[in-house]
Amino acid sequence: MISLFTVTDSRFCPQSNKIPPKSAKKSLPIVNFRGYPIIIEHLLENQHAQLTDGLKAILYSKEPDISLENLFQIVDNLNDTEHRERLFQLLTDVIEGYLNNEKFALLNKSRDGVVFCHLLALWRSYSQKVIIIKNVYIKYDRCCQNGLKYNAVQMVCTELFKNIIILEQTLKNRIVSQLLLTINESRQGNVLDKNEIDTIISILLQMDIYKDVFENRYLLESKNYFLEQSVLVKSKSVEEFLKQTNKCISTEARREYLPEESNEKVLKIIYEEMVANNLDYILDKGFESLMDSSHTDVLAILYDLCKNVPHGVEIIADHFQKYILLKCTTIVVRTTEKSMIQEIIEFKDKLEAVIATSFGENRLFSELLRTVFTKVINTKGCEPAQNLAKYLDSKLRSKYLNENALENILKKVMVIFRYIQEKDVFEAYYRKDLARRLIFGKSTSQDEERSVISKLKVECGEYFTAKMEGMFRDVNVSRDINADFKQYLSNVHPNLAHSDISVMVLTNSFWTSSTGNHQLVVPADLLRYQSIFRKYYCFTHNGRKLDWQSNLAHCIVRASFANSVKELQVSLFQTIVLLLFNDHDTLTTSRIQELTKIDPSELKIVLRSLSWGKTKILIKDFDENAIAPTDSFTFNRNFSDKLFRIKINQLQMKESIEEQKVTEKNILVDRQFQMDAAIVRILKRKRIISHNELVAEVYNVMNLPVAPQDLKKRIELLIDREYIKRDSDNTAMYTYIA
Amino acid sequence: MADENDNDRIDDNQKPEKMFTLKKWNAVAMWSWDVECDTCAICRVQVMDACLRCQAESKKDSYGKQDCVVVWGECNHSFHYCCMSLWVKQNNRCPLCQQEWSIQRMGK
Repeated sequence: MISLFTVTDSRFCPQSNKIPPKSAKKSLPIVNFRGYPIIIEHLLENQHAQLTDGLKAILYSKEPDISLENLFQIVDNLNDTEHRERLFQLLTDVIEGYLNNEKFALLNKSRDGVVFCHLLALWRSYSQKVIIIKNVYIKYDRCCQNGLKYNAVQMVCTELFKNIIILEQTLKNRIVSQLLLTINESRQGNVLDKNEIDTIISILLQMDIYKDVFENRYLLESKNYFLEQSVLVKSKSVEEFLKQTNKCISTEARREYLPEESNEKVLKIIYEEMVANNLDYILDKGFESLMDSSHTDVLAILYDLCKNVPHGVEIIADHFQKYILLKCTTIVVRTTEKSMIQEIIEFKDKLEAVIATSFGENRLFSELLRTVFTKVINTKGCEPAQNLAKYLDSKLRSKYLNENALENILKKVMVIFRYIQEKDVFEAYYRKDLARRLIFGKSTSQDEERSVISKLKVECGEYFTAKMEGMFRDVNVSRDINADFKQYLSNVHPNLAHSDISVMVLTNSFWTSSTGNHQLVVPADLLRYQSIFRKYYCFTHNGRKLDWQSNLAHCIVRASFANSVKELQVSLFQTIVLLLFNDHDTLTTSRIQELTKIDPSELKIVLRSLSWGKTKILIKDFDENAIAPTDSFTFNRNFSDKLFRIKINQLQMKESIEEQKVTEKNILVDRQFQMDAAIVRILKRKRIISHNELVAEVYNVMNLPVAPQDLKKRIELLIDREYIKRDSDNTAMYTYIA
Repeated sequence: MADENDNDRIDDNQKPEKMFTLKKWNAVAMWSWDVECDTCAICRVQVMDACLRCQAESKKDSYGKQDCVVVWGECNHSFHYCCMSLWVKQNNRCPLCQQEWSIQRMGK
């Protein structure tokens, strides 16, 4: 059997063979078989002793008595079914003895760090030795392949090392605690010897004891560590804590010497211990201030952390919503008309920036932003709508904005506009301001004016902007009328043709008209022009009548002062008052009122504007703010100013409370029509409907706030006007009257 | 508003030594139909606004509004021209006073 093995490798050619070749024996006839086993037994003992010595020499790094070649040969010779067992036993005995020896040496080393070092050294040298032994036992190994024990020698060696060294209770504890200590030190910021750990871990992995020996304790230890860390949230600022957590995560994720699986488990622990369990505390403590200061980087960390925590994003969203609600309500409640819209826009920009840079453009947040803004803005009735119109007015009149900047603002305003429920209020106030801008030529850019209209049209439909468009049309038509009128004057009244007069003819229904001051004593010249124009206009436009809007008229008056001639930009009322001083030196308030018939309250404002501030065209006898009927005024001949054309503040242009009331009343009237239309439309479709259903439907259809009592009143009125009637059987039902 | 012709005087007759002279006058006037009743009795819409039909159609034609003019009968009653022209097809009498309808004048 043994002879079947032929050594093909020349390196293993036998040099000194102590066993005589069997072929020689074969030729001999064996008569007495008894003595034969004894010789073999004797030989065997000898060979075993040699093999043991040789293996020991390899393991203890001594010069072996016989060459590796011979050892190989011995193994080769003994590698038969009969002796294999023994061969293996011998190997394990020798290794066991060796490892036990080493174990005691290791156990005698007192400090963990030294053990670690020695263990590594032992493993390295052991591995080298195992390779040699493997080569010696190569015949044995190859034979084993058939018996499904591939690499048996290597396995046995590793197994022995594992059982004797690594799994030895004390050593195991020392190794693991050393590993944990090292990792812990790296967590504290120390640089660790990755190679060392890497080797140990790979040993553990190789021996398939990584999980039992190390990972379980590692995870437990990590959990404690991060639990400890998470307590720091109380003492550190939120920003520091989040940054630190983030750092932890990036370092833990990058422990490449540990299997990825373990790193992931540790990350899970961090997310749970440091983020999830503290999330509410963190958000309560720091979210508001982070948002206030727009700490986008820290917020981004927060968001990224929460993404890995169950319901984390929803929890942030919840705080985000509360934050907007709080801040937005403060803005809406606290601010005055001037700053409200500006602040809302700024606040919204800030939030959008945070969503874009920190919250990964998550739609959940933008949606929250929209709903909260809509909700909050509409809690304050018509005020925001009114303020928005005024804000837009101030921007459209501003001389300091170029078109791009203005267009940008418009976009933002339109977003706020979308939030506003009471769009009709906006329309009314916007139209009023638009009227001012058009009549007094205050718009900075016609293109931008049109841009607003087209945006509103897209948003709310044709009907919403119809009147505004009508206003623009009126202005254009007026330009043509004026050109024609000039032509007419030069034909019919050549002596007046050079006069500088322009008339803006506005369609009554587009503009909010005020009842003209009919008693007003207009200077004779002007009266003449008025009547010529009226005649001309009514001739060209059949069936129309004209109402002069004296409160909107404005003039340029040339004034000769002692030192200079100036041009004053004034309202018609101011003009009329000033012209009086051509014939009078001093006039009292009551006398002026008598002469001009200007409404007394209006007159007070006019006189104040002329005798107040930098533009003191008139001198009042008492230098007080209030204007009494007995106060007298004189022309200020010594007035001087460095400008040639002086604009006199037209205080009366400030919106009066009455005006506001009128606007509000108009809005309410319009709403009633909308309500009527909604009710009738619903009934026309349903034919018969119960009161509650009807109310619900109306609320559904109308996107305006409707007071229940108003709705009830409208229903009653529609019944009176016979659009609908109560059902004869059930009075809670309404039917449509076709 | 036109700021041209700033040099023109309103009234050349005024003497230059006067303290104040009016140089330019920008007047504003509102026009409305010269009617006794400002609601059209046929469609119940203010005559200043377009009649119901035109309002509905103005969705297609944004200038429809301008064309919805007023018409006065000999009886001095006024209606939307659109409303009245439909009315007379059925009944050639003024809906308010039952007089024979004949157009006195039309707005333009």
